[in-house]
Amino acid sequence: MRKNEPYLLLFPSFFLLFIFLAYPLLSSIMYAFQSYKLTAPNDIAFNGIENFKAVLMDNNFPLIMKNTIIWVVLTVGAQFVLGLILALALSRPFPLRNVYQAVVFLPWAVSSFVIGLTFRWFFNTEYGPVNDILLKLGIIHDKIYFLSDPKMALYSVIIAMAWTGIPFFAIMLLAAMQSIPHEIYEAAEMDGAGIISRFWNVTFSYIKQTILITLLLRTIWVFSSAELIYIMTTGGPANSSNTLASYMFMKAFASLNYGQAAAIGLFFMVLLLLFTFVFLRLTKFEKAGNL
Amino acid sequence: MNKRMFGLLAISTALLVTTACSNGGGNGGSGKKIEISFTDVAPSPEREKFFNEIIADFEKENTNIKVKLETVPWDQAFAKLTTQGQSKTMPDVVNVYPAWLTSFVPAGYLEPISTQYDTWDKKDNLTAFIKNVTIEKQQREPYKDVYYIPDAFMGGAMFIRTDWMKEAKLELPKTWDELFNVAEKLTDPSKNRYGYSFRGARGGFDQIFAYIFSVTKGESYEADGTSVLLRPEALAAFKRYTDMYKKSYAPKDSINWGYQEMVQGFTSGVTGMLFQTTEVVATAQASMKDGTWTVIPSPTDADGNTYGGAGASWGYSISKNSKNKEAAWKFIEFLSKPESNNKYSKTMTMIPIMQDSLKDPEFGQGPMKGFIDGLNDPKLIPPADYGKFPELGEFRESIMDAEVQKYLLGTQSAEDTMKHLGDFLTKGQQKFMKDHPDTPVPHAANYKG
Repeated sequence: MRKNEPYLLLFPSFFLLFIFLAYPLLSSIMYAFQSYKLTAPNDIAFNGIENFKAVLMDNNFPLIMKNTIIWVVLTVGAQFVLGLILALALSRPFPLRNVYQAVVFLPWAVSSFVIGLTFRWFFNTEYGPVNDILLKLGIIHDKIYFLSDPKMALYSVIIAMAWTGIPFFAIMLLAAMQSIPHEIYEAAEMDGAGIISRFWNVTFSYIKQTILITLLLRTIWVFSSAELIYIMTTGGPANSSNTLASYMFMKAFASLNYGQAAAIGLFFMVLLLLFTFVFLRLTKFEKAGNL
Repeated sequence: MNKRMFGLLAISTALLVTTACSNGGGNGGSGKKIEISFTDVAPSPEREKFFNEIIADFEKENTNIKVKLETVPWDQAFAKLTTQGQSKTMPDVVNVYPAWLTSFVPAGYLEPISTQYDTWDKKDNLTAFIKNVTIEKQQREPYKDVYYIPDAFMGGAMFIRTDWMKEAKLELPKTWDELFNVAEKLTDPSKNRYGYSFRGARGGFDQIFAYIFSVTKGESYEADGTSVLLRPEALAAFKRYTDMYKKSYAPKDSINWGYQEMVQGFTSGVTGMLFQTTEVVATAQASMKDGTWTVIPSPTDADGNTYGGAGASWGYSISKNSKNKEAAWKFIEFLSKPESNNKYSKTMTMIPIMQDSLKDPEFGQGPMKGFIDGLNDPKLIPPADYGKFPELGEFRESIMDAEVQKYLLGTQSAEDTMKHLGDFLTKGQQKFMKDHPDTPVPHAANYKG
């Protein structure tokens, strides 16, 4: 009895892990090699690598890969830079700092559906306030087609996406900054370090590890996030704002082609694993914390 | 320690089991009251109010049945119902779009209701079009069974700004050629006015096909199952229609317009013409000044015929996985009886399915006249449909509009666009014909003759 006890106690959590992690993962790997369309439920069968072929040979695929890279780099980049500035601004005490902090962190707490719908209205060409204000201020003379111009659509969604993610960076970086012992700044000042040198040699060195882990997390999240694209443009016009994640979502829930969607998902997972591996190697993550 | 741990584990397991049991028992076990669910696929405040009232009346008459109203927005309805069908969790009664039968029937998501229909006492009161076309020709002929009872009749017609027309000294268009001319003349970007509410997304291709039908005489396939889209005249028609977008007689934004946006475009005074179905009358009445707009029958072709899109808007059907099919049919019967149907049609500004209801003078006046006139026109020929093969679901939901958008954006030629669409339909239809040699190729015919 005693010998089996650990297994018995471990069983519930392993059981849950199996149901919610292993089973979906395994079944989606299975789907990826099947012709699995909900519109033809009587023709479900294994079809080898047909799904991967169909996805990779798709005419839209190069455009979608390009969009995915632009989407991730610009969104994460903007979130990081603006988040860092926000964290630096909030790191020193000033009157009503707590109130202000609560307000600027608000976007993080808003549901992405609400954000998507709000920005869709902001950017609406006929009734949206952004066009209206720009026209009235005389900054532009013709309306901007934010969501229906294929050259603009992706960037309009990136603006919304960047806005939502700034607080996350700010919260993480601020927490890291507040754990830096104050004496170090004093010592640096005594040694004659200027503001830039203090930032670079003290603040940045201390929060480097947080920056790296936050960047990694955000990249993975932004890469796999599809909801804002779905709500604001549904990937359109003509796929010009589709990324890999939103394209997968569309394949599954608009075309109802679960086989191809699972194939994209698998491709996606391999890409992210590779990225994580390369990222950790290049940044020498395990040594980053040691000064 | 040891024993206590086991005790805890045992208790928690027992709790889990009992709660699970009580959940399961609560739904089906009580026995007395049957609960059926009903999903509406085109929710709006007016519809929700109507259905809640009807359900209250129904529950008063059938005290042992409770109806739970659920809704799903139109743009997501097909995907949601398909997923529910696959997981056998479809609601008992569901409002289906006629074209979805091509996917739902072969997949076995819907319950045939032929027996219930054949023994229905209100059957002979149905209007000729509903009985002969919607029930027999569009359901029993291709699918061997009846699957839905139409909720109402929906005809397409042209909504038009009469005040703009007067300003521009134009006559109301009767033919497609006149319509294209009006679209050009009404356009004045400096006033933010455009001639036509173009639908570039979410079903936009259906509107283009409505014009292509006028050059193919309502046919969708050749006798061997080749799509008419591969005919040169269909290509010319496609170019002609989409020129309204390319030459900016429609707002540039309309490439992303679906149902809601195109209607808003018209009611908010951005566009001068809108090709839509009857239920938009209510919206227009609510948000536009009287005397600034009217409804005229759909444009005719050069041969004088109208190949107008007309048919059942939605239909009530029973899901295969329903456990209370008897109660479900009772509810459908209640929804379809003349009193309910008349009330429904008036609220939604649609045309009722029962002959008795058409005698109501309210349907023969005002904006509804344009639709009724269109329906009574002996030269109205309902066009053939796209076929009955399951790939059509995919075609409608994710292929047709994206292909057209590529042409509208100039990244793909019209020839390629029509070839991609035509090839897809040809492949699907020819495969279907091989598997179902008895089902005739879709064909356009006047239901009166």
